[in-house]
Amino acid sequence: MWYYDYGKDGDVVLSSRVRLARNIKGLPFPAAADKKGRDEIIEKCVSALTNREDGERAEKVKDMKLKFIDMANMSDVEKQAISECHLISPQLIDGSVRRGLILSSDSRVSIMINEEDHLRIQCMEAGFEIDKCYAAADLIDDFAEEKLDYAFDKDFGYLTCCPTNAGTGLRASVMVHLPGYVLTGKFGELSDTLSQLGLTVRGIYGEGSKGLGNIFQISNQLTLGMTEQDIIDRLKQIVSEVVANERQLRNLLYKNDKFRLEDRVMRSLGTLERAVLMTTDEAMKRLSDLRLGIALGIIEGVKPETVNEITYSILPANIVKNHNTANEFSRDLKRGEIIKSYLK
Amino acid sequence: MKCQICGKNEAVEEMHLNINGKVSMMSVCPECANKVAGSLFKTGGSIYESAGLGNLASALYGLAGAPSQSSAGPEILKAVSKCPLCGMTYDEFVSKGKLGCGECYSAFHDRLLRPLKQIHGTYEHVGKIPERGGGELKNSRRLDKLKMSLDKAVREQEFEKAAEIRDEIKAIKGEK
Repeated sequence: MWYYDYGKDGDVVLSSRVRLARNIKGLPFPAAADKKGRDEIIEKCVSALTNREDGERAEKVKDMKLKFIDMANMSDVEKQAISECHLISPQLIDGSVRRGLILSSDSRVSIMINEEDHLRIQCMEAGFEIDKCYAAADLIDDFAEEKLDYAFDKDFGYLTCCPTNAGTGLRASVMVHLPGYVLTGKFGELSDTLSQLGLTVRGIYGEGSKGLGNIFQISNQLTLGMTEQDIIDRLKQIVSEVVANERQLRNLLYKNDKFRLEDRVMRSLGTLERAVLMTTDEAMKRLSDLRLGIALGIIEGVKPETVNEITYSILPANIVKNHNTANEFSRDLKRGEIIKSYLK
Repeated sequence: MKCQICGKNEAVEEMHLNINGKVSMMSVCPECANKVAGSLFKTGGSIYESAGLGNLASALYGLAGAPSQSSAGPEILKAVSKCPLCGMTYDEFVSKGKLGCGECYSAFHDRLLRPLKQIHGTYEHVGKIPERGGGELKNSRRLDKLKMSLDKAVREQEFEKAAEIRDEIKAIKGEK
């Protein structure tokens, strides 16, 4: 999977993502539509995006090998598992209404249908690659617009269900590992500064998950009144700064408290290599130490890609999906086993 | 549903009236709603100002409080406008924070300016324009840009360049 890869600035930026919200003119948004309306939305989006052979863009999009999945045909645990890997939003799991997903063969492109908006075009990459993500999303957007009349207003831009997304409908975000900020007690300050700059910081799984594994998402808050390029450039500029500071804080931490930090990292490695039962929370905490240890050169012989792979393999729904575990205890047992098998 | 007054236009307003103590509700089109409002209140102004929409005010999406009607005569107790496409009322938007369809943005255009400005600091889209649906807007943006560079060229006395830009502007206007 692409999200195991170690990309540009991968010691801090795990992945990048761009999302475009789009709606079809003349049709109610999914929440206000009836069953027939929602079927129509799916039908229109799927025929605009898949199995098309017309034109230059179709050639390029063809390479992505987009495939439609009716969410009704996916089991709950499968839905939760791909949501844990951030391929779909939690809202798409809710099966009370018909929803759809168009996924590229490499899972870098995930287009959600009947989420909050008719279309949520998402493009993702490992590492710090916002431009690449936007280029792919922009292409798919233009491709879809060849067939779909978008709800658009000259003042308000692309019209979305929630006014917080109106305008460009663009949300660009990076997933970052920030143990330097957290361990030096500077995370709160960072969070405040970013929000003053019009960016949002959330935990890896949204609001409720603050700090799990010291992994955070940073994204733009405003979508109207700026061009797409401005939004992206601004985010890139600020995140570059965060990356540089995070590296500096890590080095400072290591310089000032070498043995304590080495002890912390090696204890975590030892626990991950030996523990029998492992909860998600503990695993994420220890894996964060492992990432930090690898980045600082304290641990050699464990690849960052391996840590990424472990991180996604041990999430609860992914364990249930792949190993059919019955309860929390057997999940924790399985989690311990999985981690050990990777670190052997 | 058709307007209960003219019977022609689509009804998108629900008016709750009190005429001599008798409370009734009518579904009417915007034009008839304004006529009714005009006949009941001598002072002009839009129906939204004269009806009790102040009650809907919320921190983010609401309007400033409206003057209450304390006269004993006929009065509009409440006027609710609905989006003609999805039927959503502004009231529902205020409570949910989500709109029902793209048309809602036109139906509640004026009332959305304030919340949009509060969220984004502006209500002017300057980003991407759809290729097919935004042809005219694309031209007008291009014209604005060209006019700015024309002004600059004239100011800086680059008359040859100014003439070129003028030709380009003419060509765009001619295309339309």
